[in-house]
Amino acid sequence: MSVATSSYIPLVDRSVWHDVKPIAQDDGPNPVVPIMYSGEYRDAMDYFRAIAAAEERSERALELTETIIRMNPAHYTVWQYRMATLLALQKNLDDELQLMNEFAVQNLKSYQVWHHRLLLLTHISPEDPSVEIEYLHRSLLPDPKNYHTWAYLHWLYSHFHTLGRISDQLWHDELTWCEEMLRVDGRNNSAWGWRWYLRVARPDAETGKDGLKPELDYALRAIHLIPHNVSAWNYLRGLLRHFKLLLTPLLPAILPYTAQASSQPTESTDNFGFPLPPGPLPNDTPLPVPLALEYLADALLEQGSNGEAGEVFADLSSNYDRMRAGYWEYRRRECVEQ
Amino acid sequence: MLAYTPSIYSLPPTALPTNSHPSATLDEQQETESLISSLFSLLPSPTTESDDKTVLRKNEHTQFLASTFFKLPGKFVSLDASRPWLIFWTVHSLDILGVALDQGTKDRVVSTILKFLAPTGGFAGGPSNSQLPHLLPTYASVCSLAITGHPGPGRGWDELRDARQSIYNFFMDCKRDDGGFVVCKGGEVDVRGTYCLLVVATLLDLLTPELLHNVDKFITSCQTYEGGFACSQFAFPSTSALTSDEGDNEYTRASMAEAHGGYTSCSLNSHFLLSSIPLPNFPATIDVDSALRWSVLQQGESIEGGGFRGRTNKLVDGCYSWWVGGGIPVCEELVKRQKKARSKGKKNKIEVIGEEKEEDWVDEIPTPPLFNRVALQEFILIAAQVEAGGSGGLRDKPGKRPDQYHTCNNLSGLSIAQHSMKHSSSVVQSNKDKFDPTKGLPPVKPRSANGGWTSEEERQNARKEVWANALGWIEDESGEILVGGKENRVNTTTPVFNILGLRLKPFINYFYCQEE
Repeated sequence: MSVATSSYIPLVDRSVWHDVKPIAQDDGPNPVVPIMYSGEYRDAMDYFRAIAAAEERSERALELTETIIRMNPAHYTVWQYRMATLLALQKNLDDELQLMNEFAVQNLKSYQVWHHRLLLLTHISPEDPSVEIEYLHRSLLPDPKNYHTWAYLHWLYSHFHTLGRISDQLWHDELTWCEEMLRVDGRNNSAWGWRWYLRVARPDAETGKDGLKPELDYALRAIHLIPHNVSAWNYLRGLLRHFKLLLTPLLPAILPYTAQASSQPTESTDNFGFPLPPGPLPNDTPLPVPLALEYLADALLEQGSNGEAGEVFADLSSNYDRMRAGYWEYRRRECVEQ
Repeated sequence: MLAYTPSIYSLPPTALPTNSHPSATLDEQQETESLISSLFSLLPSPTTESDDKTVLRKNEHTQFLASTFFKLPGKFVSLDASRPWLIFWTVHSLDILGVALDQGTKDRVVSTILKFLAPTGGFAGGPSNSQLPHLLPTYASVCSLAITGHPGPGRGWDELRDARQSIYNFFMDCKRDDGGFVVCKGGEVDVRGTYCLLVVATLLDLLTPELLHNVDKFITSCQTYEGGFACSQFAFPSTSALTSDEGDNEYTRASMAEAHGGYTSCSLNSHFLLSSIPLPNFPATIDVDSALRWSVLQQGESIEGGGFRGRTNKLVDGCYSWWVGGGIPVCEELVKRQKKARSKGKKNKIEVIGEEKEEDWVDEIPTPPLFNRVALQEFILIAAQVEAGGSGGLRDKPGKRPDQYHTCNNLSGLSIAQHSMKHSSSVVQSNKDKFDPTKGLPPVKPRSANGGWTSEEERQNARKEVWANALGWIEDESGEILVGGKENRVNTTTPVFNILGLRLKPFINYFYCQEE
């Protein structure tokens, strides 16, 4: 078990390492969860401990860290050592970024790979981050909900925004890209989260000023397109809560999904001004949509019609969303208590 | 009560409506629905009575955990920087299953973990001559020592006691001005690190104002428009020239991704731990109602077996049984406090005279179960358990291999689903009455001259609140629900900490020098 493959040459037999005395892992006697390391991994780690103890910053140290990371991409200590060594040796970090592209292709999508990339971009600090943005867009194609990638995209825009390097054009193009992601899969909640950042959360987002109406329209259209899409409902509710808007004014767009003979006065929707469901609902859209009932109940609460709101919650609890019967019953009791 | 927790078998197996609008998300959802529902349809309808199809196969899971505890094959090299987690997942799973370790094995666990303790403070993912200290292994190591250690030389707790100042120094090394913590030197910043640090600082009596500065705001700003929490936040330097030293005008903050079960667990639990600390205007508030709503919406439909998903429109996965399910008792407690605060506000408007005493609070009328505790148990037993006679262990979903992580998180979620855990204000009050401020370990030395508590009285008050609240979780035994019968009963894990109550109590008492 000292040597795993016949082609492998132990470091002790390589002249470049002749001056280094390897240090064994200090596990103590009889450890639990010992891992039966391959010969290569144990060998590489024995030498890593030696150079780390000596704080050696060298080419061979870089090679060694790469060898280890390829065997264990979650080895945060080795990643940290590699980054410190790259900086100490003033290496060309663009080359390192290339290597990271290769790592990502191999699907080594660990926390460390993405964090290393974040540090590289911080140090390289390009005047125009669009190459990196394009890289991220490409890498989301095969894996459109990769959490690390999305978090990194949020960071990238935020970081370069603080440096004043995100042009209006870039913001605009990003929104277009995000809308395309949502057109391809309107249920991709990661893309909805990105839209929120672009339209609401980022500094200087336009929605807070005059873009709110278009944003509400966007969310309502998404609901009309896929009425059972929780992402779209959550986005709409998020907007209303964030901007402290009433739910009631949008009810005409919601009521068709409640399939309830509503107590609402049936007003003319001529002057409504928001998107209504276009004609007949899509096939396979059983009514009521539970989240539409929840919306109705919250709107009734807002109007002070606690009793009616409670009835809607009771309906959810006993008929239309039985999985969450306890939660809806809790909401019903709240109506009664207040 | 069962009217509010219907069995999967009593609900129609309705697929997610397509709305005639195909997409990749819908394809994956349909695949999972058919995978899980076919498994359920093979079985007769179970009840809460004993049933051989819904037996928790405790022996098989114990075998599975034992098979990797003393020797791991080479492919586990990807977890070489997570060995404290391998230990924690195993010893905590066994604790939940009620399997006792012999003293020899406990000693081996303790001596292994003590090798992970860095002389400069904090625990590493493996021996400290190989790896740097890191916040996540520090949580896993400390909780494993709570489970397997004891007072006395070489038994783990004395060594931890002696390392308190160095662990505190490590925590301060990780601290950033915006309230986040790097997980290790040069590492990433996210709420996992915050949570792991706060649990350890709470248990070992390490909390100081300088350690906590801005931590509440960091957590709060990870909450997304959906109500759940994201991994991290970005603090934009404020463009406003006017910054007050009281408020948080130094930064404009934005969450850094969509809401996610794992990060929601870390954030809710962190917020809960911060809420015990008596600092002015602390912690910054979170939107508790939307956190609860988001959490319960993650529970899958009957066709998906009633397990939890970790994000909106993603697939159910057994590990969220703990991450999302375990957050719901915390939400329930936070909602309850909010209600009390509101009704107190109303009352005070009417009754001007007379001071209200906190002791007068009685624990309120029980709320209905806020998530479907029966369905979650059915998911864990039927979909997450590996088939009888197989390798043992629990998994993400059918078709996936079991592992220690999913075993631990499924079992922790099972414990939460079986037992009704409440944070009791009367227990907290009686703890406070019992607290002896003359007993304690030496206070940790803050990094900056004015980073500590402003007075000994303030420090003692904080210690009292933190200790009393940590021990405030009790089981409402009338609320126990056991799918598959009494034999399936598992031990009671504590919300927020995720170790058994019977482990938490002696451990925290040791570090606060309080009597049992």
